[in-house]
Amino acid sequence: MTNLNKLSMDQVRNSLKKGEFSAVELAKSYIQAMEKNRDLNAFITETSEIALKQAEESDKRIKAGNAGLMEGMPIAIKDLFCTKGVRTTASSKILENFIPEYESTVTSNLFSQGAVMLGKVACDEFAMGSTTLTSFFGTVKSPWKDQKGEYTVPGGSSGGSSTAVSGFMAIGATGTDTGGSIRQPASFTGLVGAKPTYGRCSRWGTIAFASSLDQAGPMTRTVRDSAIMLEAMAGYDQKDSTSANRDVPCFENAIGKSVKGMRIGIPKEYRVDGLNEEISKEWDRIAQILKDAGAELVDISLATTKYAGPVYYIIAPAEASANLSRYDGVRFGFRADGPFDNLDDMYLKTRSQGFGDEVQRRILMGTYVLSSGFYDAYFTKAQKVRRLIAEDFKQAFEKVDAILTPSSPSSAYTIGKEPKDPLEMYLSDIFTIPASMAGLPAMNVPTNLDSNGLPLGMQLISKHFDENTMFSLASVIEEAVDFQLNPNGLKE
Amino acid sequence: MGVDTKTLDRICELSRIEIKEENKQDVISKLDNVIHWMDSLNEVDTSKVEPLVNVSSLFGSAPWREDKATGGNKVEQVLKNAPSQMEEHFLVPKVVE
Repeated sequence: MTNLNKLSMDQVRNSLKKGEFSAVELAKSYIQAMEKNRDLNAFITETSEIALKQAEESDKRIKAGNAGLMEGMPIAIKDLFCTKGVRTTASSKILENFIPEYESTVTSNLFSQGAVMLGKVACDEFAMGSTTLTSFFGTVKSPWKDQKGEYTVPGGSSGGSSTAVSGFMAIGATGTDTGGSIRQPASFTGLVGAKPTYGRCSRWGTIAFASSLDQAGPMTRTVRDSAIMLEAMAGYDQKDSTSANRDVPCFENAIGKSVKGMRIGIPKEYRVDGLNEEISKEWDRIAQILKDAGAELVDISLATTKYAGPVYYIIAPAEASANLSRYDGVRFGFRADGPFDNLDDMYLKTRSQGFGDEVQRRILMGTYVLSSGFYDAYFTKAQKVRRLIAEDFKQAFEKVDAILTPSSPSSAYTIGKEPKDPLEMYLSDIFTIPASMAGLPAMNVPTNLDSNGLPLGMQLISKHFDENTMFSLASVIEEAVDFQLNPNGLKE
Repeated sequence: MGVDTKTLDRICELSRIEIKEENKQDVISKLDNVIHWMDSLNEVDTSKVEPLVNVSSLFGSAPWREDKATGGNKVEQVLKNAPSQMEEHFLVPKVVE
């Protein structure tokens, strides 16, 4: 691997400006890394030709002094964002050959700021999962091996994104986060992963999973890169009715700002029974770092935390079952082979053959909680408890500026040793789900390696539209921990 | 509340998803586990709580926009990804006897 791939976005920005290398040279260097690490299976579709063409255009704009925020930055796009003329699969058989006729707002924003697309990366099918093992296009391996030398999962659902960025195959990647799908894979692979406030990034053209929760965000190697990339992705969009009509601040300005006097909430409910000791200690260590930087630690209570999981697994599948009803084999996507007895038979065979097991299970769960007789007992009940969760956060934020928790109750699973029971797997999202329920911005900051040599990360949660506070805190942590992203499973 | 074969058949029908007979018990036991977990919400008193329907309402409201047509006449693009089509229509199995 050349050193070009190790540079951060601000370093690239300066070097491109000074003419130390060109955007085309940088793109070629990343394309080489992407091709060399094909065995990790991060990319579903490589778009090297597009990358080189976009990089040429970047070089022209840099020369003309018109560089955008993401000028010449080679990135990977989660295969959930529709890209015009480029296959977009959601890692599902049902969209195996889907070629969108339009560009998602997030990718469109990134390209208009000069980003270069290396390709489309895998995720759990329809972003439903925490391992990326449910992708129709095969297992994605994290570049991190455990101590026995076995590959681990890259987390999920944005596992192709986390593999590509932590494996130096892209300088950054888009992710989407419904219940933790940016933060958990970032935590598993040693990356910075930020989920902004619900509404910050337009959902238009992003394949829908659970519309009241889905939010796009950046996955990068540094906090500053995260701020730069989020600024390029965010913005009001009339085409998404939940898009927030607010100015996007310069997130980069928050980097390196003093956190003196900030109040950091430590929620006792996150210290769950049986919490991994190493993670518990790491949480204390990072809290102390913030304290040493002048922040004040405040014990808080988020009493409804333990109900966030059940609420999420009612609301998200309910919304998914409605969103995924569009896959019927009529207008786009896969259709099963006939002959069919009738139209219904075609729907049935298409959906049963086109969706994987986990997606089918979520559709069934969602249909169950929405079906007559159960709607009030489950769906309405969950919406009510969701309000209580949001109110818990609201009260906490009257006392504190941000909240610090672990991002995940464990480090990455070794492939094949992940929980096999769906419920056990769902419990792995317990730290990331609550902030999602309330639409709050939250991010993972890599902080350390555990005794198995695998990354650990901490989560920062801040108030609605106050991403800058979490970026300031994250940059203080980043500087103090000096985490080295040096995965042991990459080809030299 | 739990899931039995009859309930599974009903939600499968609503979902247009077919579960093979030999897999039904496995699907039921996995769903049942999750639904049992969901039942823990009954511990929470929500008698005076309004359901949170719109997340944007937590920080203002979703903005309004003018209701105007912004495109159309894109027959070719719309049909491009269709598994089966003919003369500007999607083709499906016969629906009228």
